[in-house]
Amino acid sequence: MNEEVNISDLIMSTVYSLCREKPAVRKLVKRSLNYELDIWNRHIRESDIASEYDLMVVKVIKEMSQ
Amino acid sequence: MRFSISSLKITNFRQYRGKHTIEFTLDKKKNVVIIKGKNGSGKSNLLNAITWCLYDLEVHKEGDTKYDDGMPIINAAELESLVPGQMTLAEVEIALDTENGSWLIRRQVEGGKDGLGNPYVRPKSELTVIHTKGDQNLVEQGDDTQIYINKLLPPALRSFFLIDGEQLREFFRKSTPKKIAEAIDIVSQLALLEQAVYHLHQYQSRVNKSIKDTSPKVKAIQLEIKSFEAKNAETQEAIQKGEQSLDTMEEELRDIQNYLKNHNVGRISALQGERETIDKDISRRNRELGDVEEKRNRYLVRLAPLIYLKPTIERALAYIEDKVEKGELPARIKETFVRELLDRGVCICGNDLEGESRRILETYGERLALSELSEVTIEGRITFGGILAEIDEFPQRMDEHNESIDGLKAELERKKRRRELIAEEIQEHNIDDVLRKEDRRSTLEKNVATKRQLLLVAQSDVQNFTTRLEGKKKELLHELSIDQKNEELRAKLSIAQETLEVLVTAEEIVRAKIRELVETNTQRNFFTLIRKKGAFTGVTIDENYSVRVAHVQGYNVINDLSAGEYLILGLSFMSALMSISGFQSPVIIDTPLGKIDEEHREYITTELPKFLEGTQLILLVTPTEYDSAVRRNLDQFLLPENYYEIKEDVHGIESRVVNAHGAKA
Repeated sequence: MNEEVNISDLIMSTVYSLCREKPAVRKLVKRSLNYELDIWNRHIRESDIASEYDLMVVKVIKEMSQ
Repeated sequence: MRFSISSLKITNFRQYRGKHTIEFTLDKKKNVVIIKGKNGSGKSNLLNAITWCLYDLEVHKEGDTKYDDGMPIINAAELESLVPGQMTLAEVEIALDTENGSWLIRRQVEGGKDGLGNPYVRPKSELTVIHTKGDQNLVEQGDDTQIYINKLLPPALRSFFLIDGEQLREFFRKSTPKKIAEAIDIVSQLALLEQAVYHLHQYQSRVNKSIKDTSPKVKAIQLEIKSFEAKNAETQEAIQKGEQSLDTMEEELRDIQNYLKNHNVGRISALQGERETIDKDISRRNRELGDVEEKRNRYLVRLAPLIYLKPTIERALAYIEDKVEKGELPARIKETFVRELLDRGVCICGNDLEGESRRILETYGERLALSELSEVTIEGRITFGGILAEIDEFPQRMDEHNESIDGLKAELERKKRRRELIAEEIQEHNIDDVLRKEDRRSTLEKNVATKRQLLLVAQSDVQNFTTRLEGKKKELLHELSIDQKNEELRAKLSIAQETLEVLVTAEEIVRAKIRELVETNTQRNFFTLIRKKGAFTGVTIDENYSVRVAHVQGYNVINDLSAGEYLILGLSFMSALMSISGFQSPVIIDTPLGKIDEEHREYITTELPKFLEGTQLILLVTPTEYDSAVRRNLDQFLLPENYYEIKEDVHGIESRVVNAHGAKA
């Protein structure tokens, strides 16, 4: 059998290598992917998803301005 | 999470009436389970029982279908035995052994007979998952229960673990680059990234809409963005439809090409030509046979009376020989000469022939008449000798005739058999059908080429719209920064845009890396499992997801592999995807060795269990597949208690699974 590959690690390391200089983007990427994992296979209303994304964006902006 | 199946309980499911339990003993090295059953005995329905329990669907040859057509999912005899108003159920229960403790997954569907006695099956099944968390057993029921199973083994990955052998063999014979790409995408788990990209786009649109009291320029840019987004969505939808239609056309084209590979006009013409030559040959040989048979029969008719008279002829010859021996034959004086003397009445000495001398001459004449008869027979002496020699030659001459006839008959038989085979093949190669398919191929080739061009144009349009859209978004951000009141919106759009760019780029990079990994692992697996290692030099999956199997002579033989080689390529690809997916599920293969030649069977059954060491490998096999060589190979990976047989009732309607431990021989 082949050696196992940790795809999550591969995705995250690729994403981080693309936004080393952009901490806000890195935070939003991480949070959005965690959120997507959380709602995976669940039936969530589009408006609720948009609100959640707004909350994430606002939070990241706030954290970066502090 | 790694898991194995420790038991499977099925109740009133399909042809399994009543309760049936299959216990699996788990062992890392002896990882094989065998369930043997004849075709139609219920092997596939065991695989169906598992997919139904886990995902509420059954895997059939034609693809995944729900159970709303044909035979009911609840055993028909069980339903039939109910009285009006009585209920029953079909149930499948799978016990799992996981890294985090035991799991129990149970799915039930109710059915029965209504008040009028009509059988029914409820459309919705009920799923229960019992799993352990710490010391606690948690019972999950209701709409979200499926999530637990999907986390254990996502439905998209199901077909890489719960495998129909025939579908696996057909995978690379029928797969388009798009299907290969889809399979790789499924295991790449890029769906999360894609969803995040999609939701960020949605979010951007909402933020754009919320920008109010803006300058005319911002308004104009917003309108342009809206227009590009609409055009983009429209073109992408057209691309999607175009790709679907292209897929359908390519699939039909591939089927036709496969058909025409063996059924083409050239081949049929060659067969027809051969048949005409054979017909002429047969006719000529038939004439020759007739002649030879007639000759032999004439010979037989001529010789038969002689053979019958052989003793008489031998006796006559012996008699003549005896007379000759005694000097009685042939006669010295002719009887006619004596008759002339008697008629004249004067002897050659001049004396009258009267009285005693005349009487003596008359007696002598009579004796001479008899002698002349014998003289004729003396001539026959030679003839008799010839006849007897011919009789002696008879067996040899008959053998020669018969050999010649048998040779001609054998040749005729060969020619007639070949003519039958040609006739069968020509019948299979319906010429009208072939011509129709050749026309269709030509049309499809043109349509596919046109569709590809149109798709390329559309893809280029999307790229163009996307570039201009991105430009407009940046323009909008700049305009918003001019007006302080829009600063918050600008900041939101800005970070969303940057995040989107990162996610899209990451998606492309990860996809390419996973493709390379799948390619490397597929090649490695292929060379582990393939018997003729020296015949191939590599397996590649290029950036367009086209698979190439390089023959040692440099040809791409992806369309020319044997059934066994296709199975190995399929297994290699699936194993590569399995390992990359990170999911560790049992591998269940229905009819793994059907249509596979003996040598590949030998190799697969020796190598596959080793290759999947540590992974439970459940093989649903037919008695033909499970021949003595396969059994011998698998025995080293098989605990005796993991050997089961499916037994049918006398009518072949109901089945049961029995542990055949000790009955393998």
